[in-house]
Amino acid sequence: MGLLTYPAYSRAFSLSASNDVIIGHNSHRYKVDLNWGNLDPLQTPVQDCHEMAQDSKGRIVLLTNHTKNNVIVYDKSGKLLETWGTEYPGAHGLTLVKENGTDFLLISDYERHQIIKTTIDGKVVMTIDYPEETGKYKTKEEFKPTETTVTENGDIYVADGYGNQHILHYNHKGELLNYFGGRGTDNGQFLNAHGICYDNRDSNNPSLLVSAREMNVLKRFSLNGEFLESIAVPGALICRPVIHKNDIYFAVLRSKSAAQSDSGFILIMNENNEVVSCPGATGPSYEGNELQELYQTIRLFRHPHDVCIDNDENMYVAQWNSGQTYPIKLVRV
Amino acid sequence: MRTALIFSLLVACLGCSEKKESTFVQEQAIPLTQPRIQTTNQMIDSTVTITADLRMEGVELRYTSDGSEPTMASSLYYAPIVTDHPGTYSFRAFHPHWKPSETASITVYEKGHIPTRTAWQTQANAQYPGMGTGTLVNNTKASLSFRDKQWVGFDTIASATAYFENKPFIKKMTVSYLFDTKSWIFPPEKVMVSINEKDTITMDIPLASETDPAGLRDIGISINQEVSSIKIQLYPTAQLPEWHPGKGNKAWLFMDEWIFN
Repeated sequence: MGLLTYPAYSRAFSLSASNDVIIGHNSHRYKVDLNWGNLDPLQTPVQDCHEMAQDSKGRIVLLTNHTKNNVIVYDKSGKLLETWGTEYPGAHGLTLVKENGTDFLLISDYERHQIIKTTIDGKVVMTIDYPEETGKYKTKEEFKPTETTVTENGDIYVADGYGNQHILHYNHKGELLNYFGGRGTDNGQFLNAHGICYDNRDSNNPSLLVSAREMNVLKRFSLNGEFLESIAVPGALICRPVIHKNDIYFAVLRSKSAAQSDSGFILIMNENNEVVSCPGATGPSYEGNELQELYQTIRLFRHPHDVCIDNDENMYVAQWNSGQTYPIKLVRV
Repeated sequence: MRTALIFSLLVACLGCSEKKESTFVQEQAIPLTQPRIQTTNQMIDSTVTITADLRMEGVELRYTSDGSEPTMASSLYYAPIVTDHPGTYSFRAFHPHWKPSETASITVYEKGHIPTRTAWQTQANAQYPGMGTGTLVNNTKASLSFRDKQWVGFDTIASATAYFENKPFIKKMTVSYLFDTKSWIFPPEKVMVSINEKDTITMDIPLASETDPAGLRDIGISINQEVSSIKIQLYPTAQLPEWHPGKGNKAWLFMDEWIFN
């Protein structure tokens, strides 16, 4: 009996020719794992998966606005390690802060109108309330922070992306030092200052990157709040900038002029802030210095809201309003 | 016999373990996004140019012009289509690694007779006046966004009379409207047309279903006579259906064009 000629064996040799699809362009291309991190929604539910970060132990920390478990901690394989947090109804921004070798988290909660600093296992160590002293806020309800970023000396910058569009600058004790921005279309102003990121890739000239999501623009400011430049990303409603090594990664909530709202994708810029790859969307192309409009080409992502890049160069994508789905893992090829 | 059965089960099982499924998304599992369609005009004067695009390596766009769903056997789109034929042009994207897209369609209309005068008995909602009372007969179509100034929005009955001085023979009237249930914009539930102050046509429009995609829609009304005046009354959906988050409330009616051919 010719067992060795049985199709199972011939298939064994063709397994390398897998049918996995690959998304992205140029240097940044990925396989897509939709099963990563899927949990029992009755035990460990998510509402919107807003943001993610990798901690010093290599664990993947997810922030959701589901108050049964606002924080879900996974290992890189997607195994559930722990959950905590029941008091963050507007849990939106998640930033990892390392202080003398210890991890802390900064949570931006736009419903509590507060920034909350916690230990990595959820003990609250500091809160920052609305910046009344600026005179720019009549009530605390006008302050709807979406994101934070922290510099080497511990200074905290807060983006009030759903509120009055100011960038607030605090020292590590939470004392207000400065503010800038505000709602508007001038160079130094924002419509939906949704994300902020400390950019020290050029260590001699550290700066701040702020995404003005509704404007499809990334803006750069000095640490004192002077406007430096705008980087246009036509068609892309970019969420927060995430710097990993020399590249900047963005979840794009949706394509500006798409027929469907759930038309998001991922965008990656290189060290020169040029778009090099758009997983799930059109390949980036420049005419002269002008980036052509980007838009979704495959119905994979719904409303991507944040990305986290781990130490293996793989990416995790947290999504807003996607039908309570868990994050998607993209494995770099 | 039994040995043979066990042996074949064993082989089958070997087959299973060899066929270990990849954890990654496979070819033909995820659909493409529908192509983007643009047209120079949706009202044909001499010709219109229709452009379709899905900028992605390996994508093929195929189209039909008879309203049917494009398949792999339909015409290949390789350059903008210049046409003088009214009708519905439908496009769909195909790719060896991805599922075909949904169909994206656009309808181009024959330019109609423009009324000499239009008298309104009711008014559009103050928030959505369009470009004034002439918006519905300006031979200009609106985009999918309800904020487009070519849309006139009503939350009460829309009632107007169009007068034609030279009494043209009108075969058909088309009312084009926006369908966008997420924005509470529904088709009218009833249309009444009185021709030359005598013949009255009433049409009841079936209720929209939850799964219908947003888009530009139209209602055709057969007239087939010489017309000196035509009174049009459109009733917005009075109560949003059970499945809608705003159930029981009244819906919006958004129209961009009345076309008299």
